[in-house]
Amino acid sequence: MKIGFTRRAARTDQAKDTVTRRSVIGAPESQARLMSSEPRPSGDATAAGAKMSVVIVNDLAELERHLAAWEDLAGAAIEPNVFYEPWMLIPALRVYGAGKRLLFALVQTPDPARPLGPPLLCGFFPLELKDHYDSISKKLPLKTLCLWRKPEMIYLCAPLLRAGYGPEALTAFFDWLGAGDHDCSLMEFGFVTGEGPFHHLLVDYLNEHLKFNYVTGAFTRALFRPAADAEDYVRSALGRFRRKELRRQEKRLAETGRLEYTALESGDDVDAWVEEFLEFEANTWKGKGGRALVCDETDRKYFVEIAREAFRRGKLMLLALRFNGRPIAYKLNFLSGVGSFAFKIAFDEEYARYSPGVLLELENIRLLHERPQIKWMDSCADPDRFMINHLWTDRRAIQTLVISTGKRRGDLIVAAIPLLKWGNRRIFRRDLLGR
Amino acid sequence: MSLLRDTSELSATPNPPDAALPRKMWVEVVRDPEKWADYATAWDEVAAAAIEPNVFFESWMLLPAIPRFGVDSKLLLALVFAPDPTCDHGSPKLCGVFPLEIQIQYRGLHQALPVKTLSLWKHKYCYLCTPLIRAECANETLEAFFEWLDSGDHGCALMEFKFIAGDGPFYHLLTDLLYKMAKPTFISESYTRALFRRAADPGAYLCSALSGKRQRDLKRQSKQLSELGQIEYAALASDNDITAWIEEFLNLEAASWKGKENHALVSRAADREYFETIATEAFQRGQLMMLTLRLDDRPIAGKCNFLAGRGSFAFKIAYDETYSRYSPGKLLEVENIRLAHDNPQLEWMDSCADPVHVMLDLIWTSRRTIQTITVSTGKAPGDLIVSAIPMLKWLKSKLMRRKTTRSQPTNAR
Repeated sequence: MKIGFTRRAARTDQAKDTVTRRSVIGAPESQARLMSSEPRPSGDATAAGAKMSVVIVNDLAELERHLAAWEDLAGAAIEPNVFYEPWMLIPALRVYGAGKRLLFALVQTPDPARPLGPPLLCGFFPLELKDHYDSISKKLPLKTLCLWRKPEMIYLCAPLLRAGYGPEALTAFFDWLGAGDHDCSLMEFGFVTGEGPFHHLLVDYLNEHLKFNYVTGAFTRALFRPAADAEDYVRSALGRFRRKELRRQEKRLAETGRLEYTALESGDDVDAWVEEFLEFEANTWKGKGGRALVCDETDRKYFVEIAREAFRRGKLMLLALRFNGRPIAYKLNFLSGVGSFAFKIAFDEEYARYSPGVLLELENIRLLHERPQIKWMDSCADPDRFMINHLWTDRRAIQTLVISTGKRRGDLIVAAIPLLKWGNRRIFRRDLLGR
Repeated sequence: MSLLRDTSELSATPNPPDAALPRKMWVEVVRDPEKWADYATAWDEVAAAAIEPNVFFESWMLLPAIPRFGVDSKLLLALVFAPDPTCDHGSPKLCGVFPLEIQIQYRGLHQALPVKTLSLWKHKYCYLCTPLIRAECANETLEAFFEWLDSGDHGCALMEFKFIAGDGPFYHLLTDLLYKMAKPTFISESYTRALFRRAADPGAYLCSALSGKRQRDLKRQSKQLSELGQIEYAALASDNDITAWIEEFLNLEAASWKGKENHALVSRAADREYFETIATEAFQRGQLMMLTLRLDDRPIAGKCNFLAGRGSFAFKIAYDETYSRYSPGKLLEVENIRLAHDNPQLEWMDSCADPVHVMLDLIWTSRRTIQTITVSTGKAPGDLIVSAIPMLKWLKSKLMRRKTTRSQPTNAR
């Protein structure tokens, strides 16, 4: 089923009053108006009062027409998210998006530098329309808009917002949520950062507009932030005993064969590296458990495509620990501005007693300290990963929150979600937390 | 990223320095506020070794608040202890300090609910309630606290983590634990406030924070001010007379709009005494930072910050409104940024300001989230109540058609 979303640019502004009134629950209308006209604490004078419009695109071909603007936005985003950059998202949409009802909310403003030129893209929200709200029950027909996510491939769903235009772009998106003809009562921000610039913007918006919202899940995952130097970092992360033991393991390996740390360089043959990684991963427990990238042809193709493209853009970091020329541990990261994302790791279990995975992580820490432009690396790991949680001392909060779009019943449903969850767990003994 | 199942790699060889403390911890509850002071020494140690500094919960800042702002509250201090790792019969080691208040009603909604609630104690001059937890055993300490919540004889169904930082080590710890326990939570309040995080140097900081025009404006104002007389930026030094500095700051504040509206520190004897006590104590501990902008030896702007390890907290600012067209407050903020960069230990300064504070929001570029998270203590019907709060909130707003006021924090500066 296709839903006929067309350009909504003109409607968002005139619908503004209704939106605000709906969202300020229980507050008298006059008060709501007063609040909406309050000046926002915007730090950037150039963006204050920028007129935003929302354009909805619902097919891939049309989305590709906005490619240049999207690329530009990704480079100027308030918080980098490699998974929502065009070169990574478009191939994902092509292979995993088929059959899903996808739409893309593009928030634009006239470019102050070129008033007659193309508009400046200030916000990008890839959305999926679902008939059910997943966290409660498939039987309840609660139409929901979600940030699009492909589990195991997309680890962060923070939308792209242009630095300097954040509050305006987010407000325009919420205005569209209230006025657009999507018919959904709920908007789920799943797997977004629970701290940092995007989170602050969201909190400010929700506060200012007294929006009904509910955080349905929050967890932390390991984050790397460089220390003064790699030595310092390792010393603060690992105890003396553990460091000594790792040195011993490395030494032992080096004594029995040729041990080398290698990294993919710009002149290297990326295809050979990627092939080798895939083959290596297939031979680990993941391959045996059917969870390696090669186990599914779609996954393999997608992975090869994004790895190749990332390499071309200088955004791929591929490391291998080799023993007698043969890889025994592999790590693959994607880079994005000041941020970076650990995407896959694999190690050979035969060498488990030498901790090849940890040795390669230490090499990764060394290499990251050589790139001062990288301020953080997101582990993209599950919250309970022992090894990475131990080695990477910092954490990043990831959360999922659901917000009423402002449509009919939205607030009531958001208010009812925790109760329904409680009921599910206590009365029907079902754990529907979606873990 | 569910990839490396290499817990086997590490778990076979546990890390002794980190796992030095045995797991068995216990909680002692001190109900008589007069006895809180008995633990001051150990308490100070925890503050110095805390996973996240919070000056407002340090003993010297909290104890003087009890007789002045806590007489009518039912206060209790939950102390988490671990056995001394070095010897079996040694004195136990304090690992966590949770100053709590028992409220007979839950006040996270606009209307009070008749549910007995434990809450981190927030008095009038406490702008952050992140509890003090020893870094080396933070996880175990918080677990022990939750165990006590579940089994202690406080009789409360809800626990309110009030006014805690919504980012940073303590928040991560709490999020982790709540995730593991799969506890329903309700965030009754969440807002951002201005935070200063140091840049490479003050010049780089100001260039990123202020546009060229604003910087020129401030230079012009500074120049115009210097045409009126001798201007001088002064910072409290360790050999200065602290009483005179406090007096000067109080007088400046009393003469401003705060004094006229009875919001100044001098407006109430208890507030004045409290400020004098903590400022003197902070000065003796080297945790006080006071700045003044003087025009011909007369103060026209003053600022008072408290320091705590790598963090710091802006407590009060005041300026003389007769000079407001020269922005003395802003000029002093710029000086504050310079001085903050001079202190290499200082990583951040919490503005402790209201969410929308235009001046600070401009000059202080970072943000920090402040949250109030309510969870069940584990006693019935805690989980049900936590799950029902949003519905009650909705019912109240929709059906009772009462006026909901904008929920805003009350820590007016």
